[in-house]
Amino acid sequence: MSGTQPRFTGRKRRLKTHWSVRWSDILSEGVITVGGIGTIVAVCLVALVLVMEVIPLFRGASIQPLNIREAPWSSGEIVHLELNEYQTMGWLLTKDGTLQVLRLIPPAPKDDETESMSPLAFEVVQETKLVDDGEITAISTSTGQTDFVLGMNDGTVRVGNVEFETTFVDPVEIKNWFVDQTSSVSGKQLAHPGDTAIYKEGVVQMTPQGQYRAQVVDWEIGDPIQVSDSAIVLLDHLPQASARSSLGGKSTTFAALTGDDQLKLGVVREKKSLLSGKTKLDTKFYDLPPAEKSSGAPQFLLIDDLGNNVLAVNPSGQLLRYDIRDTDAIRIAETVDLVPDSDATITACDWILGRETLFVGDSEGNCSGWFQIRLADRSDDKFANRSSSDGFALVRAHQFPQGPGAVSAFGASSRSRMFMVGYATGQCSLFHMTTEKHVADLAMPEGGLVELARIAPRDDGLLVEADGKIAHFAMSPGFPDITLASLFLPVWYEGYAEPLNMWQSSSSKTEDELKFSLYPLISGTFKATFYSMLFGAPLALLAAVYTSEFSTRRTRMLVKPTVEMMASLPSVVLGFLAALVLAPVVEDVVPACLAAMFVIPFTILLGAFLWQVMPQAFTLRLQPYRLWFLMPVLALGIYLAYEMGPAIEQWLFLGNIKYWLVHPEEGTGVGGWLLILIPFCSLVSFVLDANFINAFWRGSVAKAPRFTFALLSLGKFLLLSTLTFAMAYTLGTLLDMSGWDPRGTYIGEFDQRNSLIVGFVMGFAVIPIIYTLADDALSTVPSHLRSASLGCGATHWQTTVRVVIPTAMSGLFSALMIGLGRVAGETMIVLMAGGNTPIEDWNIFNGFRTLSTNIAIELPEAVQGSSHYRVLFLSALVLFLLTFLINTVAEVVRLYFRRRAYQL
Amino acid sequence: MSQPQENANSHVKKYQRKSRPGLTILSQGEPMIWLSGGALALALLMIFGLLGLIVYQGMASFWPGRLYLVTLKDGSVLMGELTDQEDFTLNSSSPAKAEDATAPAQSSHRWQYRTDNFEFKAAQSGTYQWVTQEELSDTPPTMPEWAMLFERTKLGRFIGTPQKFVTATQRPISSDEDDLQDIHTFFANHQSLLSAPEDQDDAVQTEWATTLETLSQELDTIQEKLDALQAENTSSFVTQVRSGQQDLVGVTEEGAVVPLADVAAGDNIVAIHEVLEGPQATYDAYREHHAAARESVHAIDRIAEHEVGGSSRRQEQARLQLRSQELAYDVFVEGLANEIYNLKIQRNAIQQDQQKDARIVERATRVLGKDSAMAQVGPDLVATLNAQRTTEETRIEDRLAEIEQLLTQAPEPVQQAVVQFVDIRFEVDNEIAALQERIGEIEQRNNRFGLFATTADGIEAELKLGDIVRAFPANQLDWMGRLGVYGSRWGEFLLANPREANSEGGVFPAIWGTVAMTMIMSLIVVPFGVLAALYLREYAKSGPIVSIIRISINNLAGVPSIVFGVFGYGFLILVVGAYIDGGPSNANLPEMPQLWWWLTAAGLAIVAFSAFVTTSYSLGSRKVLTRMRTPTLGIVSLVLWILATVAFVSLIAFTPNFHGFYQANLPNPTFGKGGLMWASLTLALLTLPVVIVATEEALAAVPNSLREGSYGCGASKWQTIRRIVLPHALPGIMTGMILAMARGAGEVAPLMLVGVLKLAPELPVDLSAPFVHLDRSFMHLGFHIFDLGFQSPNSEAAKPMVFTTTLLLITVVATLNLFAIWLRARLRKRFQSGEF
Repeated sequence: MSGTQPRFTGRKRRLKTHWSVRWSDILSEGVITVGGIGTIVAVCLVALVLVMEVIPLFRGASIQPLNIREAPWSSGEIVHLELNEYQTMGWLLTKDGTLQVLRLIPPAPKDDETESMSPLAFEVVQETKLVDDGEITAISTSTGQTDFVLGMNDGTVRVGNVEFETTFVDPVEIKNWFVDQTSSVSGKQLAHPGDTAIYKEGVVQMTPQGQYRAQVVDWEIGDPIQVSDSAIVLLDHLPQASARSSLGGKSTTFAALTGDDQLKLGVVREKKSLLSGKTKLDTKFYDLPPAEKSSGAPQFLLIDDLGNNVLAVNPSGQLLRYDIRDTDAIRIAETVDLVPDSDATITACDWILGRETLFVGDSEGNCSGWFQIRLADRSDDKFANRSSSDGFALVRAHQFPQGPGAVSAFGASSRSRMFMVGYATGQCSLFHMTTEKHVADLAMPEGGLVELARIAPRDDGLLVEADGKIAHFAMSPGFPDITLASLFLPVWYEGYAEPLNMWQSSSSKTEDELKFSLYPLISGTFKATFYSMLFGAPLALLAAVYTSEFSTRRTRMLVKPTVEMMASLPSVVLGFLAALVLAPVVEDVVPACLAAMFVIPFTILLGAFLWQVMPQAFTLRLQPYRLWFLMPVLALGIYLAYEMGPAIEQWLFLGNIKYWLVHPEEGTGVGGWLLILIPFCSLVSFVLDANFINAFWRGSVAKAPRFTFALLSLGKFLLLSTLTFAMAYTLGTLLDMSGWDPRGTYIGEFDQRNSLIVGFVMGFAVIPIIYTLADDALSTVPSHLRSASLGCGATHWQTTVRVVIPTAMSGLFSALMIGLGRVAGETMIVLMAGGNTPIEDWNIFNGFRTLSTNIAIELPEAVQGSSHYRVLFLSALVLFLLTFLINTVAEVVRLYFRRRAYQL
Repeated sequence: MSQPQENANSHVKKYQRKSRPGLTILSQGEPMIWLSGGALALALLMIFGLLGLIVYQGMASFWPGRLYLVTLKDGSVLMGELTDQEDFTLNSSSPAKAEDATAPAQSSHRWQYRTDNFEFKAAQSGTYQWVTQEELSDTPPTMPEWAMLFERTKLGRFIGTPQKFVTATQRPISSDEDDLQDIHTFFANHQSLLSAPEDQDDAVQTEWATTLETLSQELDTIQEKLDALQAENTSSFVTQVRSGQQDLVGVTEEGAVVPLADVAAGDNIVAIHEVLEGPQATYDAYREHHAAARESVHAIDRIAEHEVGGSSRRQEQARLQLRSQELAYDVFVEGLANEIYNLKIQRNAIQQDQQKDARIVERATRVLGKDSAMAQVGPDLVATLNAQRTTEETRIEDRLAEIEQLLTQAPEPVQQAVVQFVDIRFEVDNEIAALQERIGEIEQRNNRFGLFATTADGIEAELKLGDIVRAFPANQLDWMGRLGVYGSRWGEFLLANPREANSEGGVFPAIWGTVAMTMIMSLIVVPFGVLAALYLREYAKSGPIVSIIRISINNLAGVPSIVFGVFGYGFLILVVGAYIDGGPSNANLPEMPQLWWWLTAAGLAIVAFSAFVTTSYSLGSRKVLTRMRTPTLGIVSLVLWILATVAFVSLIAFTPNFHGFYQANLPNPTFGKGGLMWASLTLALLTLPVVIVATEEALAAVPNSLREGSYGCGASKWQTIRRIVLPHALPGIMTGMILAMARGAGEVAPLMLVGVLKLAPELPVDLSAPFVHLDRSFMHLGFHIFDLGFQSPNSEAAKPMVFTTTLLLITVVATLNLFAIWLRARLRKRFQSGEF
């Protein structure tokens, strides 16, 4: 089409598009396409990021071997080995009482072959004779603690402590030291962050910040305490950190098995004389009674976290639990078979972190976790046949899949409930106790019985010894404390009688376990949604029906924008009003509030029936101003409810509802029942009226004049109301007499910030959005449908119920769904007025915590990348998906039915 | 047989309208209509009740009330504003009494007074106090004429009666006086350092004893001279000040107050106080001096904020410079630089002490003559003192040399940076000292005035004039006066900074922060929202995919705001922000190996080029019109573009060569923490669906006939959009923008995660370059409400403030919404006529 063409003006014109037009067209299309798609992608990024942050939660652990080298000791020579938290050094104790400070020789860098490759895994930095004479026959240490007790072959024990002490060394000093040592300016040592070197009596490492961090081993050991004449065979003690000693003096409690098969409990107290200021060791010994039917000497001896129990386990799996709370009357609290299902022998038995859960490993490769529960907390039959003298019972709470061989070594993590099991085949497995998650497996390349399995203090490394080889692994454990099951299903947490859903994301000690169960939060979200929708949805729908069907055009023009404007009222404002203004007021008038739920509708209905009594000429003329007549009736209802409050409280709630709520043993539960039964019974009487009474009634009063009829219907209404109430009351009394008290279920302890308040205010917050959407849906119903219905003689109300509402049903439904989505994600109102306690119950007078408030409260404090952080992301994702789903359903339904409505 | 017929007849009759008046009532459904009307009425009642409550409380809280003096039965008195009164039942709520609940509940009345005077309350703390009818004594509450309300910058309000106004004039201290004082202190303090000569010779010893004696005599002489000089100066000062005035009081060195008439000739007066007694005089004096005092307080604030702040910023910049040199050369010298600075400070202090001592001895010689004991002993004393100092100095010098030695190994620029850093620290120190001096001067001038007032129970308190924001005798004010106070409180509320943990003062930073955040948010959201809507409505081929996208965007509007907050915190701040600060490693992103990176870059170049070629071949309006577009080529180019984008993003995200723009600040984050940028971006994402939906609706409302007309005239697609579609859709787009702004202004939950603070030290947009500080945290009205109501230490006292802030916030939001509604109405009108 290019080229020129004569036009009627005679002027020639080029019909070629100007280049600027063409290029701007291309450019704009490009920019709009890229920008548009980019924007949409950016919005999708929200979901993507949430997913990306959540995925690692469910990814497994990763373990990389760093190196395998010869162990510098022969088998059975050492009694204990400990690593420091940076995995740069460690210490070990040999049988003859020598304390060796070790430097972990790092793996040789691949590109640097000049550095002599040491065949050994460790380099001895310093050696001290901790015990001068005698041989160590038993040692007691505790995961995550620094103190230990040694048992000697001469029947003495020694209390000691070995700690890593960290200092930061001046760069000048460190340079001088190296110059002195090597008599040359050493540029090679400690050139890069992470390098280690021997410095004085310890090891120095360059940190990523360029500081020099030196660590030395600091040890102390006490005088020998004579326990017995024969050698100490087994020993366990209560670590200092958990020994809550009396009167400030240090005390150590330990249990020992001596060579002559005697179980002894020793308590060493350090007494400080007030006069001389000298400390004196005061040791007391108590004998533990032997088992009744002796089935061999114990092979494991353990003291629990609080120092209340001593456990003695013999190889056949029989555990004797001694109650030592009263040292003068030590007795066997119970006897438990640790391997009830088989006749395997116990090969490993130790506490995991916190000394509350007992790990048991047997010769068949089975592992299990045991802890004590209070028998009284368990009402079901499972432990009905268990009994113990102190009311507690040791139960098997966790069981783990069978390993490839006999359990030969055990190592507990010192920062989580994770542990490592070494098998006789040279394989090792990592498990998490509480979630029973199988974290990872690893195997020694050359096999052999695993003698030593250690998890580095920061859970970032593993040290395994088998067959004279030491393997060092780098590990990232992932998130062993999180599994899908632990997030949504009950988990048997340490010390609780049964599996529970709990959310407890912070603790004061590392020993305490964090509990991440989303269930209480999700149930809180549903609770908030339920109570809010209970209040908001009917109100909004009814109001929308009224505005679109019965109000005048002028009223509608005024009311709708007003309500719409409330939709954008910041929720922080509503939350503030709810918590600081409404909550204290409601607290004073709880019975009145409960009464209002029934009194207000009743008053309005009464008003309507009275209105009917008026002559028709009058009502027809006044119809447009119905809303104005409603207002005083409404006010009257509120006033009535307010006035009735104290009387109701006297009558049903012992004069004090808060007291009544928490004392189910006093008074009757009728008041609580009425709350549920009145709506139920009014429904029953409505059905009764519609289906039975009306049919009869129609025929008999048909000929009555209008006034009489109105009076009669008023009477019927009052009669039915009375009937409803009587029915509810009778039923409530019956239920109460049958021993079914509602207190403790959906009503219970009163909290100032509670679901009632949140339900009210959040319901109020959601009214505008439901109202607007519902009103839109109702107004889009084509008017010819209405006209046809009215033309057929139907009244307005009949038209509304039979024609308009069914047609607009999809719109109403989607309005409800969108309102539901709004409520489920609302944060500020719940944060301010909801009390924020993460517990699961349906008590209307109690607070709760929703997913969204939980995020708002805890995310700023959560450590980036921790399981807490990722679980919070997961809850955001759950919230996202939940609301997205609800909204999508609403939208799809709306679109589907809109297409249908167009055909009308 | 007859019965059915009868039935049939009655059936016919039944539907004769005339005889069935009752049924019409039944089917009219009046009760149900009433019920639905009741729902609407209840909703309206709640809306207006809520608005009314906020408006009333918000407007009323600044209105100054009368101050009442209330006497209680136990003899104590209290003074305060009446804030509330109510009837209550004395009936205690414990059910233990439920048995004798038959006794009528005792009804009583009580009043709540706002008594303030926070610091004088030992027993009953709190701002408010309830007084019940029973506690009230027989004398009814009065309104004392001179009950005054002082609003202070610290410790909240003070309610009391003004007693006196004191103007202090300090006596200027002459330099001679200072010198004598110094000499006296020096010798008196260091006398013990003198050691007797070791020579056992009696003569020497005697001489020594004489010298000592002379020394103590000379000390007395100096004291006498000092006294004489002070007395002389005092009397001249007194005569100078006294001229004409009578009610003057002198303050002696010990702090005792003597009437000036009683001042003896030899007394040393440090200051003279002019005392105005009586409330009226005090109030007048207060009004005379208050404005100047406040002005100088503001001046101090300005100095502290701008000049001191500027100096500290310079020092911080020097430190960052040093840190970046450290990073560039991989050395660690900051600790050393600080040590150099500290050592030098110590050395200077020692040198100054030396000089000062020498000067004192010289002065002593001048005052008492060369032969005096002081002149003789002085040099020895100085030498002894200096001996100690020298050892210290050598230690410092040694250490300095050691550090110097260590530093020589560092590269040249690092050494320079160290030197520069130390120099700047010294400079800044001097500057700040000078500024402190200026501040001290102004403060001294301000401290001349003191206002003394007594509380209701007679405790006298001194109120610093500069600390008083506003004071007025509440019971004397007429309507105009109270209106003035009301207006001034509103003015302060809107324009001043908060004080008293946000519970008093203004909310200007919060308003400013809200406005800045909303503006930046709309700057981001509108262009992108419009682009997306244009794409969806005008360019994308409508089909299932576009419907799905449209539904999803619609639904995103319903996703809880906190989810966006989580995104902002977890991605924008902790990943993008940390990346900007310190590169991929700081953001926990993996780094690509160098080789891989270059390979990817080369791949990107190839892919992007081929994508460009394919796209430019498949694009073009001509091909659209002639339907010559090849769909396969389009898909190929799309895939290539996606590939290129992925490669580009990963190149940037995982680069090994980028270490952040603010690496020197680490570990302190610059963008890796909440700030204006992230808050705006988060809210932009949150409000994006609103804008897209509104714009799409507006675009859809433009009649197709207009487009077709435009095409028919030969306009291109872009010309049609630009000239025809966009102008017609503009009001709709504006509506969307305003709705987004309203939503953004009222949203709090996501902001709590991405950068809102309860008290931000600096405004996010101010007059210092670069004017818009995207990395700064800010304050927000909505969060202010949350913080005041829930995290305030004195939440009772903060309550009025919460209401006013709430009023302000909903006014802003409601105004924006009303504007949007009005715009929408206009838009509808405009297109209703155009549609056919």
